[in-house]
Amino acid sequence: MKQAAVFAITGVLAGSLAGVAQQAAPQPAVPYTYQGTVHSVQAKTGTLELITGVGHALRLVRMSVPTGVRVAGTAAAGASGGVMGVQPGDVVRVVCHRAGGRLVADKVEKLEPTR
Amino acid sequence: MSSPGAAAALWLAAFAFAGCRVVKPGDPLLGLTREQRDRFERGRAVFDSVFTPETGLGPLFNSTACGECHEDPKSGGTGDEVEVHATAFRGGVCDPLVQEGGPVIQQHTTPALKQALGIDAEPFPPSATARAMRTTPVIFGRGLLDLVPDSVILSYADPDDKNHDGISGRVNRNVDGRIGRFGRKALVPTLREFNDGAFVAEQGVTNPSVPTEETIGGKPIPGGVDPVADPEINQDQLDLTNDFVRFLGAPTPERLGGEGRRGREIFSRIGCAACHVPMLRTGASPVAALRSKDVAAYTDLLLHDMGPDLADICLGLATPAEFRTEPLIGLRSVKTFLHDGRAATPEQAIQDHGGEAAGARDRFQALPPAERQALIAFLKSL
Ligand code: HEC
Ligand code: HEC
Repeated sequence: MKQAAVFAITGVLAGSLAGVAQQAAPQPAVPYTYQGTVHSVQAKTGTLELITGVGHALRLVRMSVPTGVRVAGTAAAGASGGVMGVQPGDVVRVVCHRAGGRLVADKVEKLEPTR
Repeated sequence: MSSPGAAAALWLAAFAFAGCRVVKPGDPLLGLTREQRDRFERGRAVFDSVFTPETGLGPLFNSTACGECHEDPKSGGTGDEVEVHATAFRGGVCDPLVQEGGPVIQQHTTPALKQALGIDAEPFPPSATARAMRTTPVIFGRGLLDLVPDSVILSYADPDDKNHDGISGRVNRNVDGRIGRFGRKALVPTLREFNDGAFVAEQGVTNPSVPTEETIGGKPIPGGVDPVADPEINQDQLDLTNDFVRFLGAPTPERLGGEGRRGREIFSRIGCAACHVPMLRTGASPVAALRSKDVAAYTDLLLHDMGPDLADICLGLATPAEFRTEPLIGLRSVKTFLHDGRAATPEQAIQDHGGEAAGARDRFQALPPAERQALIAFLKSL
């Protein structure tokens, strides 16, 4: 069940990378969801880079996180690590939209630490 | 942990149930419908298709077809290609170096890319902390491994070695947090994702699941070098390939004589089966031939610390020394052993086991020669 849901997300993700965005095409405001590992957090520019991808074909997705976007999720409360409460290695789910050809985060959710 | 005796009984039962019908390396699963067999055959044609730059190959690639690497003794088997992976392990966090073209570093370029950049291979990532060599494994029976429920894999995990047997398997996680099981480092959660990714990482063939090419060491592909429109194969071709791979049967172990049967007991007795779990059972599937089946997997699909001599790259949560217990399905078709092919024989592979497997290795080495020989006879039947 859970697997199937995430797989659907990967599908949307792949579509968006190609600029195909099948379901999203008629409505530019439709959100994209990415789930991946944080690669870098740039405090100054408010930029977040995620590692996503399929199999061994990994990809980086860069997005900006406007000030005011809070990190949700259990482990994030009061986190001192990164500016947005996330740090490299964290697994996050980010809902974002496209603006001016760039991805802008609307919601960043830190997922349970896994082992 | 299931008792070795019960596993052996299950094995016998599974064998008896299948009657005398035998799956040879490269054969499809028993019990496929006619339509599924037809898709298996058509899928093999895509798996074996040789791509050219005109049909989507490259601009970076390791080989021209799945079946160019996975070819021996049949499509889906092993091959002599050895590929290069690279990552960086810093402060306990693994960086797959996507920004520098990692983790798969392609060893060939198309003529157009070579002309544009003057390179024969993707540049090795400057930030890499290790280089990994990866031999081509057999991929028989992976459709069955794909359907072993996560809960079963987790049931074998013992990250803190609570039972004090010196063996502490743990799961790897994909970059999105899901439990992984495919690849030597068990990064990839599903067979389909592994296959979809392989088209791009190995052949530079984009597809509906991975519609973007690899970068050249993290930099975009120069204009005009890859004129074929993405995706370079369609959903139908991708689905057929996936059906071929998931319908590849696990070769039936050869019939054991007295020596082999003794070897099988020794395998359990000296602790090989603590990681190489003899039997796993698949869960639900719309495909009857894959559903609720016992597979002589000889793996727990978990990561184990194998010691500093085998260590190379990190990947996901896997540290440099951690590797997934290699399934021993179709071992008789394997030509060189361990992740980089360093071992020429199964004996040598066992001798190279370290870390959590050091106890089992030492017990193997302490066996009288006849018992060692029996164990090897058993391994060669797989
Ligand atoms: C250049 C040679 C090469 C090509 C081409 C290639 N592979 Fe592989 N394959 C490998 C290697 C090497 C590995 C092991 C990777 C690792 O351990 O990280 C592998 C692993 C796999 C696995 C995982 C097996 C396991 O036990 O986890 C699958 C499935 C697979 N390949 C399918 C494919 C498919 C499908 C294609 C074509 C789209 C393909 N491969 C193309 C070399 C190749
Ligand atoms: C702690 C877990 C563990 C134990 C115990 C263990 N193995 Fe392994 N085995 C592994 C892992 C992990 C690999 C893959 C290592 C690599 O590729 O470098 C492996 C690889 C192998 C291979 C090579 C397979 C191939 O296709 O390359 C053989 C053969 C093998 N083991 C046999 C045995 C035997 C026989 C024993 C008992 C003496 C044993 N193992 C005990 C974890 C274990």
